[in-house]
Amino acid sequence: MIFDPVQICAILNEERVDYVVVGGFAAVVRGSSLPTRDIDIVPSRVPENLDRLARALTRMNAEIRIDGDSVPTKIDGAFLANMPFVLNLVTDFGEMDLTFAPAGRAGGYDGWRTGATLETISDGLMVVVASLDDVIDSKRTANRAKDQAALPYLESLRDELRRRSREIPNAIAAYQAGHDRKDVAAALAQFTLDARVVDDGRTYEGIDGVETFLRKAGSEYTYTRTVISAEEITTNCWRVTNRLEGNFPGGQVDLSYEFQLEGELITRLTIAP
Amino acid sequence: MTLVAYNNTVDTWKNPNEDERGVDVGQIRAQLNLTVAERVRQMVHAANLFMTVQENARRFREAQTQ
Repeated sequence: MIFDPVQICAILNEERVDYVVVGGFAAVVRGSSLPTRDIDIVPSRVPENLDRLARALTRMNAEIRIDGDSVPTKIDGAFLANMPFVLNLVTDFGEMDLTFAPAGRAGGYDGWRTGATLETISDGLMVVVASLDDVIDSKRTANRAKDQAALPYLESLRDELRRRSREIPNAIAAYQAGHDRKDVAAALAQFTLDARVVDDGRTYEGIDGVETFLRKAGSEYTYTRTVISAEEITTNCWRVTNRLEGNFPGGQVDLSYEFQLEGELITRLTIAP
Repeated sequence: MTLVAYNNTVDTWKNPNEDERGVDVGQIRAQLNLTVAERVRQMVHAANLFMTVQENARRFREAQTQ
């Protein structure tokens, strides 16, 4: 295989590199079918992270890419720290661009990380992926010919995702409303008999398990919930991000609720930070 | 025989899935029905296929010029 972005991400994760996947590959994760032949990442510029990144790049036999040719270079943390904007690389697993300050309002790593979410791009491999809004904004600002060509498709994709988000299924809305007012019966009525809930690494099986979860979850704290985003990530699978603010340690947390629906009811719910 | 351009409307059919940007939303919806891992797998396969064709074409041209 000439291009294997999954393997690139696997090595970055093994070396514990903090990075956000941006560009065309991020758009693919969000639902774009526009192909790309490289992967763009925005790494954190913290010195320890650049050392970890250099180790990962060495493992991939990364070389600098200039006008189609590759130039062997010793890449270490100090070398990466001196890179102002972008470093084009070719690795054993295909082309990869390190973009330290991509075009657009998101700026550097911290800005891109804010709108990003954790996504499973392959079995057991989770990576932090930029939001589609940030990808579109960056392409609009960069305004290269290839960006202009991609923008109508990406904007239509964003509109479709927004349209789906406005249409949260009744079962999810009723579950959330019932849970907010600690109405266990109303929330429980939205689940199938064989439903499963995974919360904080603990699994609750069947309708009795779900009832246990509903009675336990958040019962020791008072909090308010605000929907940050909601999208149908695949057919009948919804991800709702809620911001909880209350009297629990830390006072505020954003939680991802992933719902799998079966007919009109919830059959799976996974809650994760 | 004199060749004359055909100026009449050839086809008035419009893809019902096409939005105001000219994008086929049906294709987007089909893509959103895949899991993230499936989207990645599909794109990587397409990209590698495309690059293989490009590479073969380049080799063929090189062989012809030698």
